[in-house]
Amino acid sequence: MRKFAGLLAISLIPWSAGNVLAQDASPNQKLEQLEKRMNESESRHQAELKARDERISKLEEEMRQKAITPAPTKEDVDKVTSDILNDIDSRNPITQTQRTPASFNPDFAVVGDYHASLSTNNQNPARNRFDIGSVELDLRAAVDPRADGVVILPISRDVDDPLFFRGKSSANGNIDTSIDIEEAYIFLHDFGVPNLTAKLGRFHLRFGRQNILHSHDWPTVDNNFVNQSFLGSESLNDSGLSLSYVIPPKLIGGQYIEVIAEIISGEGNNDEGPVLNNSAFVDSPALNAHALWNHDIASDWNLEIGTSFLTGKRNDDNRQNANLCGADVTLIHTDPSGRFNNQLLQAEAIYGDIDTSRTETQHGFGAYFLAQQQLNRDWYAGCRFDWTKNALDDREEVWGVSPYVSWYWSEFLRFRLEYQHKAGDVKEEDTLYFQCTFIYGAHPPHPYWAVR
Amino acid sequence: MKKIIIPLLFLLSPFAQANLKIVTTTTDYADLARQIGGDKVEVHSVMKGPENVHNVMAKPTEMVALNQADLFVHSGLDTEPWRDNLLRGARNPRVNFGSPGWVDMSNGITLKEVPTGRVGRDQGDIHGYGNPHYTLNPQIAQRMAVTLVKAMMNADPANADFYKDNAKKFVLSMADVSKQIKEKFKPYAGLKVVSFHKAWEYFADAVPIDVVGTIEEKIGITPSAAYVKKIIEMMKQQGVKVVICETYDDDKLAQYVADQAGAKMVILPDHVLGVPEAKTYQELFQYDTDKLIETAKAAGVEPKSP
Repeated sequence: MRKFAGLLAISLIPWSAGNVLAQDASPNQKLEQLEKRMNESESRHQAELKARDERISKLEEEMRQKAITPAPTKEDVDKVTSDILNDIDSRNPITQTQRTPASFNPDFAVVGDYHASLSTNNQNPARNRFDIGSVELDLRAAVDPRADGVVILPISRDVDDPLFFRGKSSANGNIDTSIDIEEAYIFLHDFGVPNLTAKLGRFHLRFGRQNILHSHDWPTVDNNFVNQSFLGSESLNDSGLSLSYVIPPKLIGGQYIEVIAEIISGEGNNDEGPVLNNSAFVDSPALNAHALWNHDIASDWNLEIGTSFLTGKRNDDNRQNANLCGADVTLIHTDPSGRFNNQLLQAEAIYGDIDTSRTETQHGFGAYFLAQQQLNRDWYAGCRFDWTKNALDDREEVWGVSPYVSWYWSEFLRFRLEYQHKAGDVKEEDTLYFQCTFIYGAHPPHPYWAVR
Repeated sequence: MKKIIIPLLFLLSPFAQANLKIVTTTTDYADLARQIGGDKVEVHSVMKGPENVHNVMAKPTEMVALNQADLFVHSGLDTEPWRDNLLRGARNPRVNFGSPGWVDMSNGITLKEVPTGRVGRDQGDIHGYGNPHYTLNPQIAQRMAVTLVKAMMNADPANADFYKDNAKKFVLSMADVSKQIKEKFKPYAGLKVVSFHKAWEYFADAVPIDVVGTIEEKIGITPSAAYVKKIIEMMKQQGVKVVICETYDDDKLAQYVADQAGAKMVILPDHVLGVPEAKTYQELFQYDTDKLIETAKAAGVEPKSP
């Protein structure tokens, strides 16, 4: 605007000068008149600019005032006052205002797992009974923008149920009611190293595929035999540090390869841990490693191959070692039509070199294979085949066949019926299991490996 | 040797070299991203099309794509309960909640059926934020284009004008679609339908159908025999002649309901690529509208005179 006004003034000069010169006056007078007019023009121009700047400043100030808070007018105040007075006089109920709660409480879920069994094995106190096997309290929340907390507290009513049941002497039949810390860890999902995450606390060891599942996520009522023999009746949990690294996919052609390394106290599950049962933490922590490759072999077929290695000490004797190697394969087919023709094929094998004394080492191994077919929207059927040696006595073996059906009323309520024939170096038995699993509260979605 | 291997690895990668790498939860967002981004973007959709958006498996192979993504485009609601597992497995802080790469497509959209009272599982697999199937409406798709193009322009300012022009083209094209399907459906305006799942409430704003009930009594729960009988009776009483079954739902049960009520059943996709004919967002609306008209005709519904 200033430039425009300046140019206008300059352009007026020849015109003004022409007029002045055209008048009948001496050259000096003419020049004085011209100078005078130019000065007047400049003064007017400056005055206009000043007025414009003042107006802009005033408008800016008005806008600022509007942006701050429009002060209520007298009419506004009177109207609000009148409305409130009317409200006091009226018989209307209090006006409800919906608020969005800002809650810092953790997600809290309860998982109940009811079991019943009917068996030919009358001697085993864990059979022919029904009970709420466990009630699991699951608490999760973000602790920090880069860390989550997870605590899983099962309250269980267990009767000792050894895999190698040899008669009444091998199980006392006492009902053990207890609360345990199944998992309690802080999960660091972003601590500056790309693709690296860590768990610090107590957690399920990443050995194979089924050991990381909570029991209510298993595809069958009971745990597979090889995991029971080598890792414990339910799972091998321990305290320590778990690091998980996904190799940057862009370096390896878009493949998914995850490597997990864990250092743990080596205590296992105390008396339930068949392999690790060592309290000499300072001398000999245990180490676990797992690597997995996950790949879509076709658009609707997903394959996962994993391998695990666990090394630690048995008992409090540093000269007794426990070394386990594991392999797992999972093949999942998802119905390309988007409906229910989904299949799951899963197998795991474990080999162990476990010292049961300073002079004796057990070379046990075992495996299971599971196949599951979804029948329709809510029904699944499958069968698990088990065979395993006793991890602590490789002369003994047990095998079983366990067909089952699962019926989901909803995502949060499932009924399951499983028949199991079990034989080998144990008392032969045929058992019919019934299970009802229910979840309420804010349970997180099951990860991809918990194929329901 | 290195010279051969490195380019080969890039070829194998889910993303070729592009300006912007986008991972979407559904095929609708993916198509929208492709239409706006053209050759400047690489888009990967976790959902492939016909499956139930609520039950997609967040496999590690999908996490690979998200690990390298600049933008993660999703419903922002509880539509994809598997989303958190995917994010956690992807280990990509660029697309986490609160980052510019987190693109919530529900922004600016008024949801239907927002629960106002107590919410519990006795109401089935109820959605806490409201009905999440908002993508089934061309005008909502226009609003989604605004959200997405702004995120894309922010992530890749060098191509901002290109994205903006394409977004405008998309919005105009959706306006045409919106008018076309409404006009096309005029003779059947007010057609009473029963759907399997509560997925067509937003669609009903674009194509004037009247969704008088659902085969699912409670969201996501297989109905009881007694309820199925009740819905059949209701259909007979109200003269409902069309049953919509989503591509992923129990078509046998839907067919049974239709047969018992003297109606016709049609399987309709509620997402792009739900059927091969619905390759784009525009084609999805055209396909669904055409199939509905076809089914209404087959069921003997008389068209209204203009």
